[in-house]
Amino acid sequence: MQKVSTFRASRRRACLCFLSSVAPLGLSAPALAQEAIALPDIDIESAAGQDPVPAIVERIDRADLRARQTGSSDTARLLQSIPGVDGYSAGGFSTLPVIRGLEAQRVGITVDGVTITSACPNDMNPPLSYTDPQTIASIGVITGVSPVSLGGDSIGGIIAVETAPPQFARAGETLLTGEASAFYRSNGDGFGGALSLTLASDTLSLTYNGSYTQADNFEGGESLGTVRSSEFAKTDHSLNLAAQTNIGLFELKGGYHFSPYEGFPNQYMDMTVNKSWFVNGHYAGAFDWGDLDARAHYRKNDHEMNFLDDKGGTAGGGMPMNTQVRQAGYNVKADILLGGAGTLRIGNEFQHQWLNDYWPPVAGSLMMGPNPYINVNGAKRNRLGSFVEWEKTWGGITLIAGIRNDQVWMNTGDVAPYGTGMMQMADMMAAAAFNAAGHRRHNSNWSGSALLLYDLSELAKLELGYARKVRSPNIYERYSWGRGSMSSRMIGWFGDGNGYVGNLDLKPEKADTLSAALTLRDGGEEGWFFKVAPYYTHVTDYIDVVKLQNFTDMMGMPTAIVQLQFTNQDAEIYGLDVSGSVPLWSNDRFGKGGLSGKASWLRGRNKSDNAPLYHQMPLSGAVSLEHSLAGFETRIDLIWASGKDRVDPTRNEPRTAGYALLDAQVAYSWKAYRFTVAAENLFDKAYSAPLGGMSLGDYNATGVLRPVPGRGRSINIGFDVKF
Amino acid sequence: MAAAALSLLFTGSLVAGILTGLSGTSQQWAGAESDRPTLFTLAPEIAASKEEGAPAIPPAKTAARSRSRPLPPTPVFAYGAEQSGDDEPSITRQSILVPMVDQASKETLAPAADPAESTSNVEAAWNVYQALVWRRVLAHRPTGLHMLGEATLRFTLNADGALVDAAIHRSSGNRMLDRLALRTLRAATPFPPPPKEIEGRALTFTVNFRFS
Repeated sequence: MQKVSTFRASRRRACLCFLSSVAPLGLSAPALAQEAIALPDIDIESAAGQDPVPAIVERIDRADLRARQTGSSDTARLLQSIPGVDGYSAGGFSTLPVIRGLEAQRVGITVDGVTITSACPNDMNPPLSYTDPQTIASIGVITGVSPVSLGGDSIGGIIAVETAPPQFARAGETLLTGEASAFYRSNGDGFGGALSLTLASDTLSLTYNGSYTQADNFEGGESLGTVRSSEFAKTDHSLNLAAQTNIGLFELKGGYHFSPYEGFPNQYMDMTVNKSWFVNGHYAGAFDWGDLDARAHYRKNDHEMNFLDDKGGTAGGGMPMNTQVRQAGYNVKADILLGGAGTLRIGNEFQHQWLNDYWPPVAGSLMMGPNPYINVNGAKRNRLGSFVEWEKTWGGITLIAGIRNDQVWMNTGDVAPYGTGMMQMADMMAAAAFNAAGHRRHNSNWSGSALLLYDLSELAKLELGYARKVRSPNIYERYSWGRGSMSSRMIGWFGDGNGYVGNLDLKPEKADTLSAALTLRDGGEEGWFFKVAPYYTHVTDYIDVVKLQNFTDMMGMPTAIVQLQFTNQDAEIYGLDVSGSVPLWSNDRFGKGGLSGKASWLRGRNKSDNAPLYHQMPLSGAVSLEHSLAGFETRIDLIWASGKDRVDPTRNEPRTAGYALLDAQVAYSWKAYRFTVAAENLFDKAYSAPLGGMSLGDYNATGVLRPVPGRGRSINIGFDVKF
Repeated sequence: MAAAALSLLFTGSLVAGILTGLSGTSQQWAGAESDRPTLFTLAPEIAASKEEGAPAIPPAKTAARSRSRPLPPTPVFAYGAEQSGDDEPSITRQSILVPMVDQASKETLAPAADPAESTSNVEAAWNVYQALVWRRVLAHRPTGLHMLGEATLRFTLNADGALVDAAIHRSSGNRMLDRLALRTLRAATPFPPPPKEIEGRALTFTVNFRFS
């Protein structure tokens, strides 16, 4: 006992002296020679990723994905367990995510820190289609207002997917670890598997991720039968080399994606080849002044569309459509620590996209020839984003505020129709008009966001956020030009069968969002929680559509499909997401049981024509009962949605009926193995997903137009081993 | 002389008895496999703390969960600042002192009626202060970096709670992680001054940062 203060020479002091040397009686002696008191370890885990505000991010981690990867290979579908997240159905692994009424390219989606641009007039290869649930490490989702540092050029929520984070071995050791999984799904005879492998020393790490999935057409419930054009197959591979050095972490990742076919029930075309390869370099370092994070990437996409068998196949030439995309960019971010004044975050990014979309002529076709249809001639979309953000935490309050500017430059070359025959008249005139106009566009988009997180008490937390986010139109919204019936119906990602025409005069969408969330929680992870989150978004210059004309049949009678053009209107969306969970019992004999649930309600309105917005998810939710005992985990989900009555008349959107589905799953974990048996839609209920679109594959074969059926009963089995 | 020795022995064994009884419940969350002493074997109530923002000490591992619920946020000191304007946690919310000290304030302890009570108050104050220092460092920990290593720091505070010395006691082998650990420690300063009860004690601590 040294350094005894001589201020007080009282008896109490003497007792103190003695006691401090005998005090650690319940403890073992400190491991150090001097009496330095050892505080408990501080664990800094990377599992949480690098969220600037962990509190507002809803995270799906590897364990959650392992529990659900047996049921679906569609990452966007698995995200629908988060309140406020839905999806526009598309191909088997290409669902377009929707967060609080804003979909697809309105949502800021990144995979390993990189935005992946769309490379298809039907948005058949969205960013999440390049991921497989079996090889994802974690997904972070923000449904409300998000900080500007997480991305620009989007007006909705954020989805950040992380795959293959590097793992290192302890000094002097070698690490060999990984995970292998496989699954089979009876509905559609779907099967696939994945392998993740990490080999690492204490400074170098090499991770391989590979996955394969395929399925045939799936069946709807009861008598709805086969859903045509819903088969798919794809494989993804990536290799990540990482080095842990004295100046920081370096990563170099490269990968390849190949899909030989993916049917799209709600599009006229199917995807017949998608090839993509990428390189992604990353540096992260921590210094005394703060943190630095830099990323550079390149991706090359080659995407082809035509008809799979259900839509007629390619024996007669089909209708080939080829899109090539090259994208490259960098992203630099610095977190500067200001001591007591918080953290200042500054960042800059540049994204370059080049897109070429042409439809080769078909020999012997009067309409599709003799020249290629030039849909998009080497369009470029370049974006330079910069932001400044400040974050400070004091007491139970955290404040994050930032502003952002995105400069968007777009340009494209001249276009050409298939030919100059009578059948191509509309397209000829449209091409002439398009080529006569200037195509260069430039937008300077200012965005800002402010978030307040406040701990009201031990039990309650409040989040308040306001954001103004701006999104420039994408290449197809601006530069699609075809006015013929067939050429316009090749454009669009809405799954409704309608034709879409671009608009050179489109202005960027500007969204003002107010979101709040109140979370009540008690008992930590084993306790209960309840969260209620209202929001309101007003979008100025929302890109909606106006009707150009009805498509008529041979007799000149209007059909159910129409031709539309993108145009700026005003819209508002408001709603409420509610979620909660409560533990029911926990004891040695009966294990642990809990109940959780969520419900979402939203209302979207086009303020210009006072009609509902397209594809609004009706009131929906889920209730889940979970139980775990020994190695068994059981889960029963009741998923329900009410009927969709609010429909967009401009797009002839159909109503859908309400439904409730029951899913059940039992998983058994033994050591490193996990076996799963699950029943999806156990009662084979016939239903149509509210955001499923129209079944054009079936229409082609039967002449009957119906909404795309939801998946009927499927018995799924899965296997997973960690080593 | 004998009486003094006896009373000291009595006090010592009383404290030892209390410590042993309380440490019985510490096994399940003692967490770290290290056989380093964890001072919180003295304070099992911390594990039962309802606070979810700052994990139970030692930090609760984010074990695999089958629900996609929001993770408890990394600690941002969920307590409201009610004692003073700065951002230290309100000790009054801590339940560790329930059996020992009046919860109202750590500054003013009731005058000890007998040596045993006063020394237990002193030990409680010492534990509280250690917990406070630990929580402050924890609150400033960085987010994950996907780098692996363990760096142990040794630091000393003076009577005002200011950091007078901080050094790498055991390097992680990676200079960046060492730098990050030191930075985290410096970001946690200034620490609050130690309470009067433990004035004069050497405030030298070691803390191990585990990056994973």
